[in-house]
Amino acid sequence: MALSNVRLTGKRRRPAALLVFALAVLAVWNRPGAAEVPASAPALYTAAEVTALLGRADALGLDAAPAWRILLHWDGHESRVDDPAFFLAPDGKRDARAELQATLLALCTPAPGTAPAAADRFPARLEWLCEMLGLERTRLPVPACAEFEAAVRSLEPRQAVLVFPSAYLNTPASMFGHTLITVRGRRRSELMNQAVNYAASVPPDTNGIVFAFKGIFGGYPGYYSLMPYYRKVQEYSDMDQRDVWEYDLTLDAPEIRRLLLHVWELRNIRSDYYFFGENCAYNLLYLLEAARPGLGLTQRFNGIRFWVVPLDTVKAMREAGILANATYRPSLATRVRRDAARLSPEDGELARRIGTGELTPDALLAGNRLPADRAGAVLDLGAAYLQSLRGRRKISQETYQPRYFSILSVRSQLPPAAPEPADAAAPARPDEGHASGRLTLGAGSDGGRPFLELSARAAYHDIMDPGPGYVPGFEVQFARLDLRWEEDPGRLRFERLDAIRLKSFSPRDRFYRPLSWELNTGVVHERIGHAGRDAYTAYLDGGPGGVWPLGAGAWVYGVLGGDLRLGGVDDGAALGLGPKAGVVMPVGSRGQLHAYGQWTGFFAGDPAANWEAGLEQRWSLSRQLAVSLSVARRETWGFAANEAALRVFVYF
Amino acid sequence: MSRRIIALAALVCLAAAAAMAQDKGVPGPSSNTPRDNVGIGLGTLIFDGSDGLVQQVLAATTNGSCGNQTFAITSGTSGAKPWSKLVMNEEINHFVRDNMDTLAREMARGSGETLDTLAELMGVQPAERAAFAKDVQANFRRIYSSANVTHTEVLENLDQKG
Repeated sequence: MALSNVRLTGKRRRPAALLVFALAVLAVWNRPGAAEVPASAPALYTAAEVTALLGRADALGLDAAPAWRILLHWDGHESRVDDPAFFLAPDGKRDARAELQATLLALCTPAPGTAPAAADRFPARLEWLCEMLGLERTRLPVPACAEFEAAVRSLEPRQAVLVFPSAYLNTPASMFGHTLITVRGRRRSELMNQAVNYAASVPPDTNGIVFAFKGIFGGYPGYYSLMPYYRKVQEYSDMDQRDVWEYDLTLDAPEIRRLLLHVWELRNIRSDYYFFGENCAYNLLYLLEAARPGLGLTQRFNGIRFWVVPLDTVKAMREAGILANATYRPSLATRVRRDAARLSPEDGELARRIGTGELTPDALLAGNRLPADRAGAVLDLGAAYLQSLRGRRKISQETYQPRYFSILSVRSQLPPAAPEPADAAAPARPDEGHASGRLTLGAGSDGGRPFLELSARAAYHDIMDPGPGYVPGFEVQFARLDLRWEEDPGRLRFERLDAIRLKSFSPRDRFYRPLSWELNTGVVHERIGHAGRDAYTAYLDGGPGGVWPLGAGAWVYGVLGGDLRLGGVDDGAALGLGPKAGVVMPVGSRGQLHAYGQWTGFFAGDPAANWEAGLEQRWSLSRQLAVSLSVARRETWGFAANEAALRVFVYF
Repeated sequence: MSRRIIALAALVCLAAAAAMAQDKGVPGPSSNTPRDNVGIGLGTLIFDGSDGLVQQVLAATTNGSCGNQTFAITSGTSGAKPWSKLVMNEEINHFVRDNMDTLAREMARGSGETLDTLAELMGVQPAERAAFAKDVQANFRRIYSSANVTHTEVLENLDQKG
């Protein structure tokens, strides 16, 4: 009925108008899409939908995906992480599928009470599952970890860097290093990079033996921590005097994001620290694999060759193609030595005396004996030297403060330092050194008897092995076995088994006077007595010494060593003492010559005066191949013989 | 009675710990994160280094045993209210606190990575950094005003010159 056709007479007009007005209002009110009616929010995934998602995750086999296994730090059988807080399923440590199901469920369901949301605890898992299953974030109770997103926005990550601090002063084992990762952010300065480090948490003042035992057998919890890189630079460069290598990593922006997401998941998560296996270097590999699944880095160390040498992980990264340019950051002590080499010996000595306080800055400047620029260089070197002494705790803060301050106060009044010369050459990169395992084939004659020699060494480096990438004078050898086959009487014989051989030969100069030392132990075959009877003795020898540079890369060493023998010798045991000295010098660019002599007087047990003098010339043919020629004359318990040998070394 | 037993047990534990701690101590944080208002002077060591040879060998082999439990993202003040005093800017405050000695040495010589980083944090543009370095070298004695100057004083002195 059209309204226009209705003619209302007077008395019914007002109520009719009211009725029309009411109908009109109601019509407007109920119009769909009107502003007053709110649109319905996307609902959380229903229980049925979640069940379907769990089924789809199973169908896709997501729990077996490499990316999932990496996020769980899977070693093939179980997760390497030991903290229950890392797992949502009760048996999550051993069951990757159960953990995935529990994670998916927790991400889709609001957390009970005040418990933290799964999305806040495991943002990397959230991101990966969303991608794999096409989850709609708006339908999850928590779509992203707000704290993480804010932190990443503030950091503005642009590149990841692998940092490798090399050897401590006087500690050969440390040359196999440590690894940590830094991320370059919005700051240009490297010092402001974000450092990610995995380390054991050790209470201060721990007894040394307890420390070694617990460190080896997983007695300490390990944690990932984040801090500004400058704190690490201070620790390594200024205090520990370790040279540092910084390798650019070829990870792109999404990969760096995945790395950071996974680091966030590991916040305050404990993973037991094992020196040989699950150490700093191994645990960092999971971060890199989380960034780029398929790198296969951790797999290399999950098998028979289970020991993880940080330097080996760097080499593995190189082979996986993720390392780019390397930057060398010399330690404070290295820079002191370099700067001293640029000054005259007289100025170097002045700088040393400034650092030790024997000469005051005012006395240095008195009488204007030195031009201003030389005085500035001397004071700079003196201050750096003094700072390095404080870093090594050779001097108390009370003595240090006024001396350091007065040097710098006077220095600041002199003209600014000249720019560093650009010719400062960096040493060879540690990852370019020879491989840690070694196989030797040799032939020679010992006491007139010809022999063939086969030797295998598990690790790592002796002072005559090819030098590039290694610290000169440092030796660490583990598990070396030498076998010989003699034509007459035609038998294969065990020649030596070295358990450990360590040398720390650090040259002394006017600034630093490290004490050198060596320590060796194992079992060795010797011929003793006039008849040359075969004997096998266990030995432990070593002692302190000194090393002095001779110029042109050559150095001379002297050690006073003790020598303890058990078994083999006539009395069953012997104890001796004696000096050892030698010279090592480079020959051309690929060779080294070692001339040595040693004498040991055994005074307890079976007495004797053993001695040896020899010469060895070794050449590197390539990075993994070397050859050597050696001659020696030795006398052991009255039996004297000459030995000459040619050996080929293959590193693998 | 139980309180006395606890006290006695605590004493025994302390004695045992003291006995075990005969060696000089391996690298471990001595002052984890000093509070900002505690002034740090020259020669303060962040980490408690150790000198003993045995400790060195062992420490080196259990690499990275400095268990510092920090989990701090290096954050800046992007988007935050600009600071009124340098000492209140956490990023600069911590940087100067942790780099007192190297900063002093580079200021005195007029160049260096640490000094350049400080300039960046203070908002000095790259083109102005040479002038900044020259300026701080000339004002060194005012910035590092005494041998036992603390990092908060250095920050205040840096503020005044600006």
